Amino acid sequence: MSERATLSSAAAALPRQRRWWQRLFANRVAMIALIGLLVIVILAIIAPLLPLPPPNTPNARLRLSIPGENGFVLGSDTLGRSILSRIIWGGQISLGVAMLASGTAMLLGLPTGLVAGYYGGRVDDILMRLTDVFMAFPIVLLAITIIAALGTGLSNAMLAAGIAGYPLYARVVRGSVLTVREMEYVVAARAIGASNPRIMLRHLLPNVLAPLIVTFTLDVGNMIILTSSLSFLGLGTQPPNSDWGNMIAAGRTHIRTAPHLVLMPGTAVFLVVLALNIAGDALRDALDPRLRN
Amino acid sequence: MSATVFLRRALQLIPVLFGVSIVSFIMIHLSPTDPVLLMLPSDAPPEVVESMRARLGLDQPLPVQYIQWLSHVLRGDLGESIRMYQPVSTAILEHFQNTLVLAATALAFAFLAGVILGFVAAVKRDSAIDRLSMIVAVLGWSLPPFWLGLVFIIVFAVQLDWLPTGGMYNASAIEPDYRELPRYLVLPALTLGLRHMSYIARMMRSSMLEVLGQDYVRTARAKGLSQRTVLLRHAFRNALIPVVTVAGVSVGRLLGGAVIVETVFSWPGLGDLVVNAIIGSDFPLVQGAALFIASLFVFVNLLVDVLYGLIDPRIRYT
Repeated sequence: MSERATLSSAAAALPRQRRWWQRLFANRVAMIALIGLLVIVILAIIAPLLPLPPPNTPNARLRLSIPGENGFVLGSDTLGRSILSRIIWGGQISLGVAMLASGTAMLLGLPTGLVAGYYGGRVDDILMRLTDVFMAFPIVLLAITIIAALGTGLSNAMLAAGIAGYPLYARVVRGSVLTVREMEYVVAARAIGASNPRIMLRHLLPNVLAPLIVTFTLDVGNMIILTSSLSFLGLGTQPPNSDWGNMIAAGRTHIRTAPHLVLMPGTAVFLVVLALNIAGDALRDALDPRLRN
Repeated sequence: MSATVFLRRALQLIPVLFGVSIVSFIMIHLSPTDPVLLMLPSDAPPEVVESMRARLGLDQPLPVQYIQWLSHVLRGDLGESIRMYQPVSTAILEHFQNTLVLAATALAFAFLAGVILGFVAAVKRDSAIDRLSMIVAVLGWSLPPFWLGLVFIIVFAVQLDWLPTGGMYNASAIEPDYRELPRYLVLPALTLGLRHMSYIARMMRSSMLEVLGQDYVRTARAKGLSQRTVLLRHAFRNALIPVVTVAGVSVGRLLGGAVIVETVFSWPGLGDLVVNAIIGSDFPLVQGAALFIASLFVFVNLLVDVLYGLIDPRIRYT
């Protein structure tokens, strides 16, 4: 009886080790950001089902309505198209392109970092020197140079952003692999004859996941800024399709008379990136407190 | 940092610079557009096109072209701009001055404001000031620069009419008047610097918090030094070390960010030049500018490493 009492009081005295999602859910600001993000993503996905005017059909009589006028919640653009509708439809492109760009960067960077970190030596030297070369170019410049080579357009902009973004993933993954590759369980796996691919995928990859998820979340935010910048420069999405970047570019000539053309889509970019950054920071604190800097 | 270590570090740059030159070269040659056709009238007869191609050496195999190009580059010859009718190196240097003015101002702002913000936040940890500065940092980091620039233009140039909307000087004046430069510089420099300021502020805060937890800070306090001396002489200087590296990395990012910001503010810099070159398929110019900026970035990183070694003698290079 007394023994049991001691045990339970000892357990109560210990600070309760909380799971990562409990730490995440306890962060109220992060939860607001995550829910906001979810709402925006869902709105973009179900855009065809929403009672919105068509995003690309001009209506000359209703040009340049200010927000609230003629039934346009966020106003209308130079061709009388609903800005709200264009932001939601454009969100499909902006969010999709940014996620695919980050995905491409991860797809290139993850194997590079995994192989470089695990094998070390010569392989590491060659792969990381190559990564250094790509790191030497400012990311915007590299992306627009790649677009100069591939031609303008949505998928090229995405690919360019992905290639320009891969060094980040390669370095994050390599760093994490280096911290675990000499650990006993890896050595043990090698001792019982596990193959190199098996060690990398079964034993090293899980250890890389936490920093990888955090990097991805924060990177998608940066990629939204990068890809919408490319569209803003006229190198990404081409009209009549629009994402947030070229909506801003189109509104630019009207900043004196109709600043809402620039303000509305830009606010969308800003809020999404803000939410991603808050969520990414919170994820990092929750998943891997060591990463906090 | 000893001379040999410096030399070894500098030698490591050679393969990277070599790679940079290959990437700059290959990128442009992957393009589906034929530069020869761009340089001639559209009705030029095929034999003229071919002789032009031969004259430019574009009929040679790629590796040969690369070696020829590289040998010219090493002598400082980046070729002729197709659209601007002047040597690429001249165009780059002229515009680079303007970018340098913009980027240096932005970096100075980002560094000063970021360090002060981070320092105050760390010293007043968990206070309202701390929370406010970190909110500013997250907001600043999330603002897309090209949009922020336009918002600045709408508010401060169009609505309030305090500052010019763009350019470097009054374009309608006969002679450029550079005494007006600060007024033209404010908005683009703030736009370019804000994201870096946010990043530096966060770095500075965490670095400062780490230093404040160190034994030597406790010792300094224990032996009765004033709060001011402890913070400024003992903590601040050590906290600054990692921030200097971040600022070094920022230089490269600033050059990249300048591409966008210069377009927004019609700032006649390197970024503006590159974007126009890409839109106009001016291949030698794109190639030269990419090579120039990347090499510059590589050298700046070397400089930061050297600086780092000078501030913190504990750092060893391998």
